[in-house]
Amino acid sequence: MLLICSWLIMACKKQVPIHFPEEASRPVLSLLMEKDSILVARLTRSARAVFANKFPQITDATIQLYEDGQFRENLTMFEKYEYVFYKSTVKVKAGSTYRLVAKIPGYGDLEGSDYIPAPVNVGELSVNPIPGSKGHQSGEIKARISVQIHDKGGERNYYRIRIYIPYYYKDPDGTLYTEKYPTSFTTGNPQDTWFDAKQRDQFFIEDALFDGGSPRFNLVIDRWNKVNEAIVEVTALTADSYKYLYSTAMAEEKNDDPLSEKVVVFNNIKNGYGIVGGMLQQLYSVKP
Amino acid sequence: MRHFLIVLLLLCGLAAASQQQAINVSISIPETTLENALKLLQQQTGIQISYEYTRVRGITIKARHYKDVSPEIILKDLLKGTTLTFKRRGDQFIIGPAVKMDRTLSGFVEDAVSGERLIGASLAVPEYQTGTITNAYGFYSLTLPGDSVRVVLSSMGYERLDTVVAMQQTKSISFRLKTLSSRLEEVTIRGVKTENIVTSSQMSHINVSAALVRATPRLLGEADLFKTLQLLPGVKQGSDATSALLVRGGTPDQNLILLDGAPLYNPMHLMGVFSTFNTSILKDVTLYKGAFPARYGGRLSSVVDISTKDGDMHKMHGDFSVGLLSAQAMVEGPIKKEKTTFVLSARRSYPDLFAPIYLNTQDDVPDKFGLHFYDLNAKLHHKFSDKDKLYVGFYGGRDKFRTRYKYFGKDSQGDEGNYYVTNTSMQWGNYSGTIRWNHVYSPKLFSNLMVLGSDYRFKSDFDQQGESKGERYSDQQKLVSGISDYGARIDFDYLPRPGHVIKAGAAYMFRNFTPGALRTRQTDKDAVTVDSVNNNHDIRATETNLYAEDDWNVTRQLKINAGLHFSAFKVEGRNYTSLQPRMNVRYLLPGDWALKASYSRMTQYIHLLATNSITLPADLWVPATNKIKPQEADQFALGIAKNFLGGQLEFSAEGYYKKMRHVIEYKEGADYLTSSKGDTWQSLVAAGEGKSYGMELFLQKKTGKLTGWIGYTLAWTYRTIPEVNDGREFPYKYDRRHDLHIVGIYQLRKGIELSASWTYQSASPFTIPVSVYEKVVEPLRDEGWFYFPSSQRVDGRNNVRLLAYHRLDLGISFIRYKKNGLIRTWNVSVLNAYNRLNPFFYYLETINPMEVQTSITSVSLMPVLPSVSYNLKF
Repeated sequence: MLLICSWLIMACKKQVPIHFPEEASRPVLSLLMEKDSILVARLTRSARAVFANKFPQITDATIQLYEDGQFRENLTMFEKYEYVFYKSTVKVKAGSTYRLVAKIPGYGDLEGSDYIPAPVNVGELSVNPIPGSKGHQSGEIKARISVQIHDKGGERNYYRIRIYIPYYYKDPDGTLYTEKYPTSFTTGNPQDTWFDAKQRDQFFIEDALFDGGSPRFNLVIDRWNKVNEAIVEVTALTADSYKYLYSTAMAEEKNDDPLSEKVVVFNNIKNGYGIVGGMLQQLYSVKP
Repeated sequence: MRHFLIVLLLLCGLAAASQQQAINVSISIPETTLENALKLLQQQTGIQISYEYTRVRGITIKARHYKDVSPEIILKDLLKGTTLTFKRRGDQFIIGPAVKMDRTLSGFVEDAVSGERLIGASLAVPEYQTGTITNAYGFYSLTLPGDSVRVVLSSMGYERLDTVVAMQQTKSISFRLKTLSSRLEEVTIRGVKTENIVTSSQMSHINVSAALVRATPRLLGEADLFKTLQLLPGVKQGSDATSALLVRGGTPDQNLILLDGAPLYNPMHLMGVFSTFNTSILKDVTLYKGAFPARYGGRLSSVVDISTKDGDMHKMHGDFSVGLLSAQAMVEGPIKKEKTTFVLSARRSYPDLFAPIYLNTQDDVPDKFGLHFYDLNAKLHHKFSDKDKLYVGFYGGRDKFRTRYKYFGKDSQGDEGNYYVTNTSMQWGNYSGTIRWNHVYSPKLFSNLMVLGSDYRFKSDFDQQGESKGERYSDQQKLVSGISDYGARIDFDYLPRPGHVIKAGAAYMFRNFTPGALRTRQTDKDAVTVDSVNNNHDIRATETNLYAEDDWNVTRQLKINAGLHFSAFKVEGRNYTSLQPRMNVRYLLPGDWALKASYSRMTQYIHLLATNSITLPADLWVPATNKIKPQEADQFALGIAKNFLGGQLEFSAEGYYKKMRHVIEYKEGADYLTSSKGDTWQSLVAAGEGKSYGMELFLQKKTGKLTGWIGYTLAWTYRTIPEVNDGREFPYKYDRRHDLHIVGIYQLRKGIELSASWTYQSASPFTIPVSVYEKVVEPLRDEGWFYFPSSQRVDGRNNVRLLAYHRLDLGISFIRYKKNGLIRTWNVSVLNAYNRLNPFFYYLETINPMEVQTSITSVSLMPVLPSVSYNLKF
């Protein structure tokens, strides 16, 4: 039986030649906006590749910014570490809608818009280490982090939760620095628990199940150590930014699943790909 | 010659008819034969009398004297007391047999040893060139003229019975057929009890016997019904090693799986690797791929009608088998001989027994672990009389998975009493039960009344609870989805004469859909902080079905099965109705080639929300609602069929075209985790159209030392859904152009049986991305470090086809008939014997942007896979 199980588990691979279908490159406008920050957008082109960390950049475009339908300014192009960006001087306000129109010579206009959502009403936050449990590495144990959200009823709201472990260090002159590292966790979401508790880096929530309620999300990390502190990030998302971030996460998770249909990533850019999405991030430190 | 004489006499008569006048005559006839008397009458009166010599031969009459009477009176008097009569056509008198009174022969056909009712046994009446077959309960009815009739009974695997039976209107006659194997002491029959492919008007259907299922090569030692069905033309298997049935471009939810009349949903174990049917209790399986008789309804693509054994009427026996994955046992016999029988079978898998060996090598080990499936079948049959029988059946099957992790210890302050426990459990499966009452109202009218219930449920439970710093907390997430059916059905078989079998019936079902009810309950410091149930409430519906069909021998050449099926579905205040015509026509061509054509419309009021290419237990069964319409399909088929070598070989060829409407798919990019997202599922799916067409060839050998078949399918299947694939048509899952199956079972000698099956399937389509583009996961800033991952761009669903699939499976059974009556069988099977690395899925690792030609990685799941199983029959 074990022999057969090992046979089954041991999947066999082989290389198969393929005439790869090709799609012409298309412009991609990427912008996630945050309250009280300037806008920094990217304008690139899609590429014929499986994985890439550098895409052809569009440097001769003009990107116009509209706030609540009123033209505010053209974004300014700047370059850093060989990356080209377009940024605004205008800082984003909560409740306003922002629209970007990218004019690319020889190509039609790209256009996308979104707004900044209201902040999340975060309730009780707590962390409880789980004595006797085994963590990811030697010396680490599991810890349960509880996050309560007070949802505003009568409207559809979208949230994302991430957890970080902070590390503090001092440089030789005594200055204290903090760095936070994302850590994965398990959720109580039913599908995440099937057969094996799935480790996630981010947890997306929509309030369809608890509209107006105050649910508590119990997330279990397995990297609790001497630091004795975790940072919980709770982000309010708009419908568009939720769909975009959620579908990109789903695509990452599902596109390697042989039994799943490929996930098409949401985009709200007319005449191109990408996103103009709003979000509002809040960070909380929790200690036992 | 005699026909020639008759024709000649008729012609002469016709010629003279216009010249003859009706006259009275006087004549004396001495005591003589009837033939002589008729000749004398012709000579002396000049009237024309036609008759068949063989009919008047041997009849004598007494002396008669007639004076000035009409020829009619004389003939009437001469024929008095005989079985003959006459008709006058003009001036010609034609003598023929008197019309006999119709009498009806009815009863059951059963196995002589076990008393098991035989389905589809043929009763031929050569004298009248007619016959009938037994229904699903072994009942037959023949209405014929005469006091006695010669009947030839045949059923595959049984000795032919040729007998003359007195036609007694009131008495039921049951025939008992002896199995061929008991005479030959060898099993050489792998065919099935079915109506002759040429005489039947039914097309697009195949019968499969339990013996055939057991004879085909096995995966992990498990004989599997659905894996055998996958070897038939028109049926595709989906992913390697799974038991999903994809029939003529349909989806798994479009198959109506009936177990003794009760519908089953997702009848799979181990996420679809095995089907749930214990082969030791199977009696008869019929797969309909199209040309659906009017009595079936509710699904678009197929009907798998499974009948289980009723139980041996005369003695106890059973079997026991052990494979690599599971063990099963079956016992059957009489509770009261000739009156009451029972069948009981159970199967349980045992992968959890081996799991600790693996788990103990891991760091974080659950303190409790369970993973298994089981099946339980039970049936009770009671015969009140020849007219009344009662069947009570139950099926239960479950897959269960459970883990529990438990942690204790001191916290950082050294406090005791801290603990954390997390439980995860999943289970899914079907329960079904039926109570059926057969009643014979008259020799021509049979009925079956059935009360049934069926329940499919998927349950997932996750809870975590613990205590920290003296404060207790808990968090429980319980998800339930499923579908329940409860209702009643009545079916009538009315057989007014051999040329007609009229079936009619009605059904009324309550359906309760639970499309993912999530309950969250949380406590903190022993106080309940959350206790909620999501807004995915149960959806209740009712379904009404009415049908009538007539299987009618119009002429020897022409046979029609025509019917109508009406259904109504009431849900959320909406009432959907559907009238579904069904028609099967067979015309016998010269050379006994049967030309067949069919049309059927089907309506399906349920949908399956599946995110994957195989059916998974967590997929949601949802009803047609106010927003989501019922699925509909029209299917046309045209084919020919013929028997060769005295019926040893059956050949059929069929072309079909199926158009489907309102089939649903998830919209592109929809949130797939619908089961816990409330009733939003309706907004996440899109409805569209589907079409499939193709041709199937099937050559089957049912008897002899070598049995098996060759099946070939040429098929296309597409979907067009407005919000999927940009509204463009795309090839559907497993749209394989060619399928070829060669299955052979060979009786090498007594006690050794070889089996092999070879499958070839051309490449199925899959989706690969055509480009990638930059994505952002954080708001960008004008300082710090940057990281830009990528998103894959998919331009069209199922845009590539690559490798063909082929596989050879082998099996050998060593059967030993022991003196004490036990039969012991060892089966050794080797799947994928030449270790073909068939693609289970593909992925793209790297690509050179400068080259058009690149390579993709294919991953295979099932290498060469041997197995062994043991079976003991008593």
